[in-house]
Amino acid sequence: MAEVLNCKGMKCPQPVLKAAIKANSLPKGSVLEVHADCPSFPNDIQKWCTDTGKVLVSLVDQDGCKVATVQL
Amino acid sequence: MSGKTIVIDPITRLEGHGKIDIHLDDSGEVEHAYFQVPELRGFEAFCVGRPAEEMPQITSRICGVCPSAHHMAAARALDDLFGVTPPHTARVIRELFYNLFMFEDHLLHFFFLGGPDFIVGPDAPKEKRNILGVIETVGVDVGKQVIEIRKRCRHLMAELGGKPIHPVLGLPGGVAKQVAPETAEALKAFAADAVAFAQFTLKAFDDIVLGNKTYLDIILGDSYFLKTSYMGMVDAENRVNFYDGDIRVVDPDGKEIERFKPRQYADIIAEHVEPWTYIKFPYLKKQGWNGFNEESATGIFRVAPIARLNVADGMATPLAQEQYERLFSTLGGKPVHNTLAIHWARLVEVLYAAERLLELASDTELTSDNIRNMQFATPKEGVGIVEAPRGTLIHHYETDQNGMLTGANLIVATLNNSAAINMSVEKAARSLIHKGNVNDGLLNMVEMAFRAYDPCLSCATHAMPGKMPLEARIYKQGNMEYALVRDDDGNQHCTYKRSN
Repeated sequence: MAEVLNCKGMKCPQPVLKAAIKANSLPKGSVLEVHADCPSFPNDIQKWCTDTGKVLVSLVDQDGCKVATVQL
Repeated sequence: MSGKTIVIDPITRLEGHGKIDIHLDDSGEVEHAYFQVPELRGFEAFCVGRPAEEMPQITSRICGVCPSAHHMAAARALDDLFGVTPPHTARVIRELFYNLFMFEDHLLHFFFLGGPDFIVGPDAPKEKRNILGVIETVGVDVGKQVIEIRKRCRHLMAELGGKPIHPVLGLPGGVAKQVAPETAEALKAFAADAVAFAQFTLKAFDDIVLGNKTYLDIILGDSYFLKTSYMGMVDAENRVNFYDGDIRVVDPDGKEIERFKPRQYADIIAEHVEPWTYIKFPYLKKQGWNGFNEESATGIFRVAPIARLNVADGMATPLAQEQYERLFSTLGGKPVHNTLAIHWARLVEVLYAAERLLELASDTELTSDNIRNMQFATPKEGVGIVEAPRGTLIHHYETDQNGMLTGANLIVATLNNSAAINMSVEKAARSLIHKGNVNDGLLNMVEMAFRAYDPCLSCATHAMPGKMPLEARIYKQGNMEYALVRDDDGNQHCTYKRSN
């Protein structure tokens, strides 16, 4: 079961910061789902995953926002 | 004559609001002079509960003149808070942006605020002691150059920072925007012109101020001499740096007495409070608070241009180094305690900022897209320090594990100078006012004692406009008769008369 983080309405760098803070409290291997509508979120979440060794499982449009599923 | 009080209110050519009360004794000599700040601001309190990452935007609203300093101190505090070091390119972009800011802000003070005292004259008619008087003196063409160079500078700041004021550049671990190749070229061209303009300004200072014996005597005279300790940021080789480094403190003889990292500031600096002003008085903890006393061993220190030059072993750029050496050889060696020498030191820093811009604009990785480090740690506490135009600026944040602010402490540049500004004003008043004789020129010369510091009182008292509590006191023959009080809701709710 994925942990869901609602970052709608937040502007860069907030969604990725919130995701990073949340990730620090979750066990390795768990799944985090981040919902955000900031235009720079797709690039930011991809870079964060690359830089920190997380797996970006999917990045899809849903109800007017982006949903990133990340395995930690 | 009995117990006359002279009030300079508002004081002029500074950022923010202040007043000077000069109390005379029965013979018309100065008993005391007070540099008062009648505005209260509450940024530290209303930041609590906000997400830490909003601080570069919130704190930049403290001031419309130096938002870039607060923005950068906040960004550096966030780096520390989230445990991230910005990549090389991000650091270069930040320092570039910051030196653009230092360049234009120092020029603002020299030509618009402090400079008129010398360029037009300390006792010139007050309607002439302003930028229009400066243009009348130096010529329209020079005036146009001043405006043009600052305009180009602000334009580049907007290009890098997103907006000409209240930038949106700094993020924890980096910057928001990559530098485009055409912007890099524009920066190089500007930096070369900035170096030439800085040299031109120093030459003008030479010709107008240093070449005038009367002005030189004023600068070197006792009226504007104050012996204190000094604080400023230095790089690894003890040279002046505005963006990064250790904080060094030297005593009144120039001997290093402290060198510390941003996280250690609370071990070094404490704050004293007086009932007659909203501004606080930082002092060195080890030396303690011994009152506004120049003679006793004192914890009072100064920051800003002459302090930075006093604590450093030199400048990191060649032309500024030449000027640094010339300043100290002309003024009798280090440390320089002449308050009005701050104007000269400010122009040395203008040259340093321009030369540093040229170095940074030529960095081969300036246009790289590697501008952010996102390996964020769980936040708890972060401290960021930069050298603002007016001195050492400290931002300290504490958060919960979700990054929501639980505490904020801002020790702002002007605050660090507050005790010294008071002492400088009183010393100038004592020296210049005798037998109760005052005139506009003399009172301006008292104001010159604070103006050299380029104080920013809106920063130093970090209030919502129209909401600041204010007490206006009316004196008759030295005794306060009435006080009109406005409360912190902005309402005038009490008018009363005091019995003598």
